[in-house]
Amino acid sequence: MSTGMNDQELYALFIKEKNNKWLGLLLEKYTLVLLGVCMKYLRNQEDAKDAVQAVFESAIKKSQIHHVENFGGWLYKIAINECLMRLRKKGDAHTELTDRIQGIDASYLENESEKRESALLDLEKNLQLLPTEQKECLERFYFQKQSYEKITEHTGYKLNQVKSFIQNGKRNLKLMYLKQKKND
Amino acid sequence: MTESRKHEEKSPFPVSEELFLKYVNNELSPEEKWEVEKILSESSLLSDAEEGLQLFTEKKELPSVVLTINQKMNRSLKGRRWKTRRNPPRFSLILIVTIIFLLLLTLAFWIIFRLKAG
Repeated sequence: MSTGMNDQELYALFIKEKNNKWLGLLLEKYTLVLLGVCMKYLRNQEDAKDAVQAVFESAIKKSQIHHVENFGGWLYKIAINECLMRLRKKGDAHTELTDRIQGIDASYLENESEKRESALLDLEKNLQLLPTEQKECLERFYFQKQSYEKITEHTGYKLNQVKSFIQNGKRNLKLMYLKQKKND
Repeated sequence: MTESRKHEEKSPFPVSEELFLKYVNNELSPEEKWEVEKILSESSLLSDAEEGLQLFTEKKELPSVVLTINQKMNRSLKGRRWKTRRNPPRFSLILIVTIIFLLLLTLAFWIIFRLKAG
């Protein structure tokens, strides 16, 4: 069910009216995404479903106590912690997950700012300084508007490699931009 | 306006759940795919989710899995009440004792005053 209300409005209503209905509607918006996140790290469908339930339980308990400003980022953090805890219990903790937790707040907020990303990608000069694979994937993706699948067809890289080249290329461009800004 | 932008107000993400599921099920045109991928490349939450959803063997069943999880969550929410904050018992005890003490003091003064007057 969609109310047309954004996260902040639903959360404000939940706090104001002390009515769990609003929290339910808010959490429902994230079920699919959280299921995907939990599945990525747990690699088991049943575990992923259980983990999402646990994330919701935790969010329900905490939402009355904490004031939440960035609901999506907050839930993402709870989900990653839940997965990490489950993997630790199995003796299979990922270092990737630990790194993720530390970077979540910053990266989630940064990722919302599309304008800044686009501005960074205008730096054609820096693009030429990137490793060939990253440069090629970024050019194909952003300038030629090719999907991941098309890029794999044209370049022969695997899907994961394409994603990784794009992510790393973006990160490198960002670092170059920040370095130049600092020097200016 | 592209399909992904139409749903911007309802979804917390710049891509609707419906479009996201179509992407996972490989049901989009190359142009639509690119639009979704551009959004995915800018959000670690969404790109993680996409990777995970691709691992499901029966992707067509994802909406019913989501529905089941939501039903369980809503059942759990229905059984919960908001915790109302009450004053700690020690505080109310101190308050009651103080009020009684003040009343007794007033009464004592009133009796002394009456005796002196009488």
